[in-house]
This record gives sequence, structure tokens and C-alpha cells, in this order.
Amino acid sequence: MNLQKAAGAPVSTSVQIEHVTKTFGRSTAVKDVSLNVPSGEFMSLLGPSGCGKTTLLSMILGILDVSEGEILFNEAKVDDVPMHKRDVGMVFQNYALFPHMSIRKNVGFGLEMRRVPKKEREERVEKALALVQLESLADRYPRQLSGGQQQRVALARALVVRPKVLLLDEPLSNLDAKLRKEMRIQLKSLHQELGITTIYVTHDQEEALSLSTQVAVMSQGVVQQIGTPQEIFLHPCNRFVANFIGYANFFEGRLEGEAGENFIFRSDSGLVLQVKKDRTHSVGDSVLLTIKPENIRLLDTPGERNAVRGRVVVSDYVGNTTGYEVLSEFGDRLKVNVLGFESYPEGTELTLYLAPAHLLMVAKE
Amino acid sequence: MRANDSDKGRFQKDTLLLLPSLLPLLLIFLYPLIQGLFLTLHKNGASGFTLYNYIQFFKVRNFFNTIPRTLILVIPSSILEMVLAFAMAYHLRGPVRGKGLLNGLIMFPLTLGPLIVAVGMIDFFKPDGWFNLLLIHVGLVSRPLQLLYNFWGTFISLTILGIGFIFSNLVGLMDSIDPSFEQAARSLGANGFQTFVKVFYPLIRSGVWNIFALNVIMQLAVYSSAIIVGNPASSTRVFSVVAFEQAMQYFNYNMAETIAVVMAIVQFICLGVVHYIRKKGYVGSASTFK
Repeated sequence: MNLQKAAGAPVSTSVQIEHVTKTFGRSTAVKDVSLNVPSGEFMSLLGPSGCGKTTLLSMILGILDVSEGEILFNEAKVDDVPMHKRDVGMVFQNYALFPHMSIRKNVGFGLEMRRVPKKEREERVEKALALVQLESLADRYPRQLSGGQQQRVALARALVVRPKVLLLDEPLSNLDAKLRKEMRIQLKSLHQELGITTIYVTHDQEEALSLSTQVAVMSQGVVQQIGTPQEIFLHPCNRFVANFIGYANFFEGRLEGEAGENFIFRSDSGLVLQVKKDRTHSVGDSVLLTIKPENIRLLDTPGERNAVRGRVVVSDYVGNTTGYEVLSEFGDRLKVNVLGFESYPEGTELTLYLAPAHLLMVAKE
Repeated sequence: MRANDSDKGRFQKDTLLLLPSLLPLLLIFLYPLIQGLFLTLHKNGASGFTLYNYIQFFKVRNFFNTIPRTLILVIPSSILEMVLAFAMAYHLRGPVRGKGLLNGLIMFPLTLGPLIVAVGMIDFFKPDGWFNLLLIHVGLVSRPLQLLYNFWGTFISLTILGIGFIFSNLVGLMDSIDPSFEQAARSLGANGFQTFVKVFYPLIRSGVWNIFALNVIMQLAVYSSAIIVGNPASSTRVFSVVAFEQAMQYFNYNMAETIAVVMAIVQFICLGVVHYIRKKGYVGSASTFK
């Protein structure tokens, strides 16, 4: 099926957020945020609970007013445009399907409000339901649908009005892990087919990296880093971003010297590691070194460079992998994820290998 | 099998715990109700079953008129109370500055009860009270308005109490509606009025009718305000006034009970009508089904 034709051809729009601040009394929820979402892009706002991402989304939708700064669609200011005239489709975290309306009526609600003729309305609702593969459930009520089906109805309801911008507020957070993965793939293919400018709020780094063309990582109302998923994943700009996307081991210290294509790093605890050189650092710099738990390998024999000896203090079996917390000989606590079924009980002595290529130097804050 | 038996035994023992609350209910409510029904089927001072009291009720104007008089007083006042309380609760739904204080002020008369409200009204609405002095002072009327010891006295008293009751129930009902429903409607292009008509009201409609029915039933038993600020000899000669008169002045408990039974039947009919209207729309949860 030609999905673009099925949902109608939405006129996609660029979204500019310029120096937007939102305050509630004395507290600042969003602080001087500037973002540019080009037409047709899929941008994720990634951050922990309370970081201001939903507040930012609410301002784009029009639920909340902007305290300072401005929001523009296609370079036209929308701050004063009432919510019902912004042409923004929204999928709420709880889907907000009207419980007193059938699925057909829910999906057709936006068209009814826009006074679309009945015949056209019916056709568009059918097509939107076909788009999310729910034609057979059109006469059911939300309470009769599973979480995944409700999520698809909410998506069809938002898309059927051909919005300029599509906003999604953690739409997968109420689904189980398997369904979440399926829905993620469906969302991605829908975006590729329809090309609607999409802003997606999530606290799940995997979701953000998988779906987006751009990711904005937020903390305490401030955008910490904007970039492609690869940029965010491979080059987190500071400790917060690195930590949020899974770098769990941090070592503060200094670059003491050079060894070929590597720097020699000594942590404050005395741990010496070699780390691949980059263009932004030089010998003598005070740096923060980080590595992901899954990038630490176990060695059979000690003695290699970048090898650290330690003792298992906590083990956490989660199926394919086991997470260990290892207390190193220098007193650092290292988080290590080991693939496979071999288990190392608490107290086991291990030798860990931190490959120079996997060690990353990031800003402290 | 044994486990089932022991469960059954425990269930029976647990049921006994209901007795302390069931016994007073049986003694205070059920027994007098049956006794009262029994009394209605006997003529005062005579033995043998008869429908004399019911026939008299519908034959004698003094009795029969209690039905239209009570309904004319209670139904319009209940509708007005619902409109006013709804408007206030709708305005105050969600986070509003000073909401607690305003809620308290609106519900305050409920804590006073009908007697204090009626006495307060006498002071406020008397010919040289604040209300009339203000109207005369601003030139709206030349003579004091007669708002006491007539239909309007009881009407106002019922309204003051009814607003508090309906408002207190509506606040909780409206706050239970997830704000994302309204936000979703607005994001789909509905203006404020369309959002109210198509989404907000249908979701609370069932609860609104329930509250309305409860209020009507309560107000059908109006007594003190009908006596103190009404005209119990004519326009506010409602069920309770006549029933009390029969019992305490004429010692005709049989007729008093008959009036009470007719009042209960009118209450049931009102409840039935409201239930019928309520069932015509959406009756169900107003929450999301995640």
C-alpha cells in the first residue's frame, strides 16, 4: 500500500525553538532552549524524568505558554496561535483516547472538528485505520483494545488530520518490551513513508537512537547536546550525556604522557590506562575518562596494558548477559557486562581489559 | 476439598463481623419501615386492612397538593442549583489559585445546616436587612422585596444548601477527568465549546445526573426551611410539613406514614426518570485505558 497516499499528503513543516524558557513561579522547567527541527526530520528529546522535555513539547503543542523566547513553524511565530489552530498532531503518553467514542469516532474526531464532509471523513478514517492495520476494530471502544492497539489508534487519530508537525510523548512507555520493539519499527517505517516533521519525547536512549535523525539530550531544563544518534552515541559531550546513554564507568585524572597513538592516563586513584589520542586534548590536561560496561572484556591472564585486576562484589544475572560490579585493586568500582552464561560469583578475582579505542575522554560537566 | 470447606467456614465466620453494623440497620431502618407500611394499611384507631389512607390522600386536596407543591419547589431549585454549581465547579477545575478557599466558601452552608441558613436568611432578606437596603440604595427597587415567609424563602434556602452539596460532589467528579482528554480534543482542532460538548460533558454526564438525582431526593424531604422561611400554610406546604402535622397535631400516625410512603414513591419515580435519562448517554469510566 502507498502509505503516503493513504494518510493524505501532509505538508511538512520545520520547527524552530528559539531561546525558549518556561518558568513556574520560581522554578525554571526549561531554560534558554534553542532547537531547529528541519522539515521531515525525526527529532527525539531524550532525558530523565523532570528534565523539561514534556514541558517543551507542551509549549510546541500550545498547552503551555512560553515564558521567554519564541516557537516558529516554517519561520512563522506560533506562540499566539491557539492550540486548536496550530495543526499539530499529538500522541499522548496515556493515548487519551475518548472512552465514550468508538475507534472510528475517535479517529474521525479531528476531521469532524474541521468540518470535513462526511463522505471524505469516512474515507480518510478508513485509510488511517488501514495505515495502522486496525480496520477490523473500528467499531470497538478503547477499553476493548490492548495497549499496542490503543497506541496505533492514537497515532491514526493524530495522523488523519494531516498535521504539520507530529508530537509523541513517550508513546511506548506503557507497552511491554516486545511490543515496544514492534511499535518502534512501525513508527520508524511510518515516518519514513509519511515524512512528517516529528518530535518524540522519551527517556529511553535505545528508542531515541533507533528512531531519530536528530537527538537532543536534556537535563534540568537545558539541552546538553544535539546531534545525530551516532554523534551522541560515539561522542557524548559531557559526563551527563555519556552517563545517560550508557557510559557507566568514569575515571577522573590527568594525561601524563604519550605512547605511540595513545595518551597515557593516570586516574586520581592511581590506575594507569592508555587511551586513543584525539584532537582536543594534549598531555597535561585534566580529563574524565569513561567506558561502557559492555566494552570491558575479561582476560584470562593478567599483565597486559590496560588490564585491571579486581574482585566481584555484585552480580546481576539478566539472561543473555550478566552485570558485575568489580572493585578494582585501586579502589574504583567498575561496572562490567559479560555476554554468555558463564557466571562469576561474588568474591571471584577477575582481570578486566579496557581497550584504548573504547575509552572516551569527555568534559566533566 | 478440605481447603474449600475450611474457606467456607472462615467465610461464614467473617460474615458474622457484619452483624454490629447490620443490627442497627435492621432495628432502626428496616423495622420502622415495615411497621410504617403496616400502619398505612390501617385506618387511624380502627383494625383491619384497608386502603383508606391512600384513597384519602388522593381524594383530599390538602394531602394530594403536597405532590405538586413539593415538586414545583424542588425540581426548579435543583435545576438552578445544578446550573450554578456546575458553572462554578467547571471554572474551578484543575489547579486554580485560591481554589481551596473558594471551595470552602461555596460548601460552607452545608456545614451550617438548614436551620442556621434559614435564620441567617431572615436577617439578610428582612425588609430592613442588608439585601433590601442595598437594592433600595442603588435604586433597583422602591419598596423592600418580600423574599421571606413565602415560596421564594424556601426556594432560596434550598438553593444555598443544594449548591454546596452539588458543588462538593462535582469538584471531585471534574477533577477525576484526565486533562489529557481535553488537550487531545483541542490538539485535534476542537475549540473550547466543542471540547466541552463533545468530550468533557459526555464523560461526566452520568455522574452529573447521579448527583442531580441525589440532590432531588434529599430536597423532596425539605422541612425546616419550608417552616421557617416559607409559608407552610400554602405555598410551601410540602410532604414533610403535612406528615408532621398529621403525626404531631392530629396524632394520625397512619396518615403521616401514608404521606411518607407517597413521598418515597415520588422519590423513586424521580430516581427512575433520572436513571432513564442517564442511561441514554455514555455510562462508564472517564479514565484512560492504558
